[in-house]
Amino acid sequence: MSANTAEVESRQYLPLDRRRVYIFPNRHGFTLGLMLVIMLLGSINYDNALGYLLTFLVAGLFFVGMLHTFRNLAGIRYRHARAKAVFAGESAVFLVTCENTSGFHKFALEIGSWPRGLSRREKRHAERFEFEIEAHGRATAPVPIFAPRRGYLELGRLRIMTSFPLGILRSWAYFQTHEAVVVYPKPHGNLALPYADDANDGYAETNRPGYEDFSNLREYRGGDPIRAIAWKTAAREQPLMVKRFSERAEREVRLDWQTTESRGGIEARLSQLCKWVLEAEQGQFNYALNLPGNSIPFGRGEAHRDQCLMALALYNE
Amino acid sequence: MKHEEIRTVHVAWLIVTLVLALLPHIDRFPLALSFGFVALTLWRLLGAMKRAPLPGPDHKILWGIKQFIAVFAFVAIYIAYRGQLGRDAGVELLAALLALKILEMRGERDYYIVAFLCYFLLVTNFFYSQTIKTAAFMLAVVILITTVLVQFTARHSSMPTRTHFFKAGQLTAQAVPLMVIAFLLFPRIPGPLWGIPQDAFSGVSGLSEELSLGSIVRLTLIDEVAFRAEFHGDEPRARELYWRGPVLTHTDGRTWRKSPDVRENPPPAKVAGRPYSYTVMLEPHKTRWLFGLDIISNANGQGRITSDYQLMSRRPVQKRASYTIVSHTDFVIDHLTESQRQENLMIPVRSHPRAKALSETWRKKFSSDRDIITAALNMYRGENFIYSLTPPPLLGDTIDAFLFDTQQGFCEHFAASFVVLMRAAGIPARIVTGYQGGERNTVSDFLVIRQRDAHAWAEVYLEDAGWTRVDPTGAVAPGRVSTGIEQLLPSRQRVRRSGNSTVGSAFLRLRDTFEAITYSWNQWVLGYSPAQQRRVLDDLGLEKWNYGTLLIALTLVCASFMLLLAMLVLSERRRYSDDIVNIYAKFQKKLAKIGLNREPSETPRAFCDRVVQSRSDLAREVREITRMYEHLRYGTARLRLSLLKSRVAAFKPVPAKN
Repeated sequence: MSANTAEVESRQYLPLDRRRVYIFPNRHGFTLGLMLVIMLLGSINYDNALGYLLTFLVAGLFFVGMLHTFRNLAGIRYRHARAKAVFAGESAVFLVTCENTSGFHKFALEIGSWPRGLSRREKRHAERFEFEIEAHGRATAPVPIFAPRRGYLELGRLRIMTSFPLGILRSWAYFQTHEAVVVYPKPHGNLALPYADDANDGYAETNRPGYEDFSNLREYRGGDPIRAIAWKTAAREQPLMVKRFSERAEREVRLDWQTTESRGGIEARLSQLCKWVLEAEQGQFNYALNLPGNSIPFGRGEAHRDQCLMALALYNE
Repeated sequence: MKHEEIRTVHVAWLIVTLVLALLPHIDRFPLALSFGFVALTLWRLLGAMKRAPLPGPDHKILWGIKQFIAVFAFVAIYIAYRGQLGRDAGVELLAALLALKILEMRGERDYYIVAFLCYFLLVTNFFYSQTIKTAAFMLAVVILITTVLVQFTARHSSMPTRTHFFKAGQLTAQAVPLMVIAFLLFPRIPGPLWGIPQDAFSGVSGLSEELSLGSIVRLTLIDEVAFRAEFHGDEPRARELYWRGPVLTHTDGRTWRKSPDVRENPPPAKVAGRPYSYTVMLEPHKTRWLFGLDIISNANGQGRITSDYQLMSRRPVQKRASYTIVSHTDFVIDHLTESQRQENLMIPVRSHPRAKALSETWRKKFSSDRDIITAALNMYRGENFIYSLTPPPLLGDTIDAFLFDTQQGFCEHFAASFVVLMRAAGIPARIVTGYQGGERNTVSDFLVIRQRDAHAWAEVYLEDAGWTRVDPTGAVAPGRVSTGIEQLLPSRQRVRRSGNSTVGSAFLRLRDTFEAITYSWNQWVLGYSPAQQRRVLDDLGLEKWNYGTLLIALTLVCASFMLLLAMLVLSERRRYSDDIVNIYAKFQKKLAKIGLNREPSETPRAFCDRVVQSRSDLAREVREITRMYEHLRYGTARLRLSLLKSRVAAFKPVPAKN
């Protein structure tokens, strides 16, 4: 499944500054805070000068740590994200590129998808990726997002977070992104590929594709017609090979919305068509796609396949 | 819940830190605890290295063993301290707990908790010691704990360990000013909030409230500081430096104790001469004595003055105390009630027959009390009395044995026997213990009075002059009073005071410097009490402050500092461009070495052209570096600084071959 990239590269993203960076102690910070309170009470009770000093020093670390944790996020700019199209039911992996506009190396950053309205539990288990960016450098982090259905899948809001350097404070910010990726229908269905010769409805332009114009062999893949298998080489106990034929030897298949009627609902019919597109591409067919209000002429190759899949993905969207 | 496995390197660092934090306690711990601690942490380390199984859900038996060790440790400590869980038991429990916690540590949360507890562990050390050394050690361990935190937080990043240390040091350095501000301004609340364990202040030495011959000698060999005194203005001469402590009036023939009837109404004293005002920084000694010079004419509300002119604190001195009082060395107290007279003449009936007999002969021979005193002092001076810090043991009646048999002793022998002789002659007399002398610090202007300056002398009541100090030790060893005890100590105990050798004087100077630092430390850090804070705030002109205003002031000052720090920490533009310039300067230096110097007016580009003209072999490198520099310095293009850095580092021009 090759590149169908939906990307909006934009220069309007600003580096993170103090208006957009949040900071708060995390649960380890609260634990330390509690301990500091106990240490302070102890120091007061025993009037222990060094106890006071230590308590105030660690409390000072806490406050100084705030500046450093903020600094570890400030100046990071969201650049763009790229993702390859996926089928429904898979996860789209957005490769998110961030830029460090500051002169400080950013350590221990975490990034992940963070849509609004996540439940507590979802927040806790949200997938995060750890990365770092060197001074004035860029880095790319994968953000996987589950694609439940066909259509456009938006990357949506991202959260970038760090608790560097002390692990007791969490500093975070949101990137509102505008990228989306196309999600194809889930390839599914048990109808056989409607060969033109079987259908015998006059669409086929050559009645019997020539098998004479043999050009080379390639390894057998599921979906290849049995007729094309090179039985001679198979007899020599080599892997199953398929004969490939020159352009003139093409077969054609018309993938029609109408023929999928038995599949039932729209999504199921799109799934069947999607599966056919993949089978046709794999089987070296010339194929055309007929959808209500959209038809794609005969063709072959990845670009053609993606065009068909895109049409299926965006049907009635 | 699934936990992230902690890597060996992090476990190892945490254990090292923990051991360091515990190190000062090591000689107080029972051997079993130390061994157990090492064994458990080693077990954890081997577990992290996958060389040994760890207790957990997968290993129920090991988990059971761990639980058993936990229960055993707690019960053992409980029994060892008979249920009295005070300071020592608390520290031991904490150590056992931490070893067990390390063993079962899994996941991020546990790791952080153990690291935080290391900070906590440092506090326990302060119940035992609060010296500068302890503080320096604390600072080092704080940096180490912080390093461990940084290292663990950045565990998925490419940060080298050296940088972890650097970062932790930087954070700690920036936190120190906040610490100082909070220390000075945080409202100090006097008194404990809850009970203090009984053993919290054990192990401090000082004069006791009793005297039986042979006890002060123990102190005489102790080099510890008893207190320090700083005079404001005039200062008495060395032989006037009698720091009065417990006054011992009551005796059963062997042991001397303070009078059971001590009231808080000092008889009026007529003072003359100049007043001496001074501040005493008293080390904790667990009893209520406060030491002062002779007769305290103004206690400034510090403690109470008793009927025998002792200054008593309201509470036992369990921590360093500081007080400023005024004394007179020239005084007359000629008031003695009948009951006091009786008390100060009392000798147990059957004790000291030979001493009594001697006194009676004197009484018959001399009419005036002064003559009797002189006779006694002459006896000490003239006969075979020897001042010795290691007198032979006294058998039978100690006073008689000393006066007539051994005739060797030190201050308390002389003081006690003298008082017995006076009382037998009908002269009211009492023993005063305290300290005599003091050593001048040459760096800062104060006196250090050590435990070995402990002294005992006598006071007699003369009808025409009131209470008068008589120091019989001075009669036998005048040096003891005028130059201090130093000369009389065995050479091993003596700090080389001889000014002849330069090494000796350098050593002395060093010691005095350290003593001066310690003095400031004690005064400003350890002695920073609510009263001291009040004084500082008054000096700062903060009048009529209360806890509320103080907290606001604290917040404001801290916030201002944070603002300053933020400017420093967050501003990088200068720093970054400085880096660029520094790297370029390195490049120039390399060229200068082969005789190509950049003129001050020359732009980098012009310089580059000139270099290329004379050295075409360097053209490629020089052009590249110059272009990078220009881009970084003036351009908008994003270029990595490290690239320029590596190019300059790789640039190794050789002198031209002519």
